[in-house]
Amino acid sequence: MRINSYNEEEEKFSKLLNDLKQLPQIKAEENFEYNLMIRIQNKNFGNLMEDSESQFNIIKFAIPSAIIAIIILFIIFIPREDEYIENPLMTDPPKIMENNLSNKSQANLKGGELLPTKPTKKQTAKNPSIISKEVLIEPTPKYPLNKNRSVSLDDYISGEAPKSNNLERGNIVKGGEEEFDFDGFLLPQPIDYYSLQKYRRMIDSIRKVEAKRDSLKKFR
Amino acid sequence: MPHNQNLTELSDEELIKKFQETNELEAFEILVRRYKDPLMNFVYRFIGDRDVCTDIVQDTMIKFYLNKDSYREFAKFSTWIYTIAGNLAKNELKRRKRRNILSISPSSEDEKQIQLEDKSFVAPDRAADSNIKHDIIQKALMKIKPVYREMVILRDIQGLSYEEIAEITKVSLGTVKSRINRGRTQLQKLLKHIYNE
Repeated sequence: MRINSYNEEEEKFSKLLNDLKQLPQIKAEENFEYNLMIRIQNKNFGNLMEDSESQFNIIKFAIPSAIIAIIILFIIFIPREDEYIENPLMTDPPKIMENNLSNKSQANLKGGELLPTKPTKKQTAKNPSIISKEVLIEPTPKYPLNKNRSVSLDDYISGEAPKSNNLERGNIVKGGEEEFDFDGFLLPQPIDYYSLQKYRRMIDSIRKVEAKRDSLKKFR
Repeated sequence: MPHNQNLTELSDEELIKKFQETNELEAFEILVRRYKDPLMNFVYRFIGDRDVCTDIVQDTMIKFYLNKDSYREFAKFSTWIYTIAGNLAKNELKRRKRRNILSISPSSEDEKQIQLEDKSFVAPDRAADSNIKHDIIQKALMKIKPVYREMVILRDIQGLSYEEIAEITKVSLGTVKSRINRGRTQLQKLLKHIYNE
């Protein structure tokens, strides 16, 4: 295994290399083998057996550190609940307890899906929490129209329209001399729940994005 | 003892194969006998401490005994055992480094000793004495980076080929050559008082 020939690169270090080669050889103690065999016979291996376990320790260390990192990321990037802006479209509308349904509310809800269902005898029997006279009704849809400044055609034709001042009504139709606010004719239509849900979802997603953007702005 | 005679005639690779297959301790002992001195020399030059060096070589042999099955035939036995010894020696150096960092005292005893003896570097007349010269070279070796030191020792003291060193240290041939060159340059710089005379 000894190499005595020097290549060109090694020539500039020739003195050093000679000295390195002339360094005295260190030899093992005479009882080296004896001590070694005793150690083997006594199975005195010290921590040499634990080497494979030490590699496992790295894994042991890596797992908790990964979990901690995930928790930190979760804390940083997930918005806190107090920062969450409640979406009014996503919340359930308040349920109104009414003992008696007025004729007016019945008329407003006629044909709509929000028409409250009176609990049948079977239902009340099954569910004792439903009291016979108490009926849960959804809130009546509120149109952004001023009744004083609009005419419900359906109600007018059917004759269910509340009696209003003819002068007032005439004023609406005629318009009068002054500039007036006329919201238009009211055509109550049944609510399309499918499209309502769709728009809710759209608005909700926009709000979520805005909320996220705001939280990121705060974070920056 | 014809059986034992036969075993001594076997190559390193044949001996470890026999040890792997038959668990014959004699094969192990022969390999220990063959490699204890070269490994002692290598580890001593790398660590610079005789007592620790004996422990490391003992540990190397025990690791060889315990992990004999991890040796694969395609590798040379010498490179395999040098790798084990080198790794243990490097671990010892790391342990020492950690101990020095954690030490409360500003400088350990060893450091003080080295600093005192460093004065001999600037006294070339003393370097004439071969023993002192050897000491100076050993101390200079200890001053260069361990990655360079290991390569210089394996090449210029142990006399291994570049290919063997690449296999032992698990680096490319080019890296071995450049590291050896850098190690020698550093060493020559440290020993300029001797070579300028």
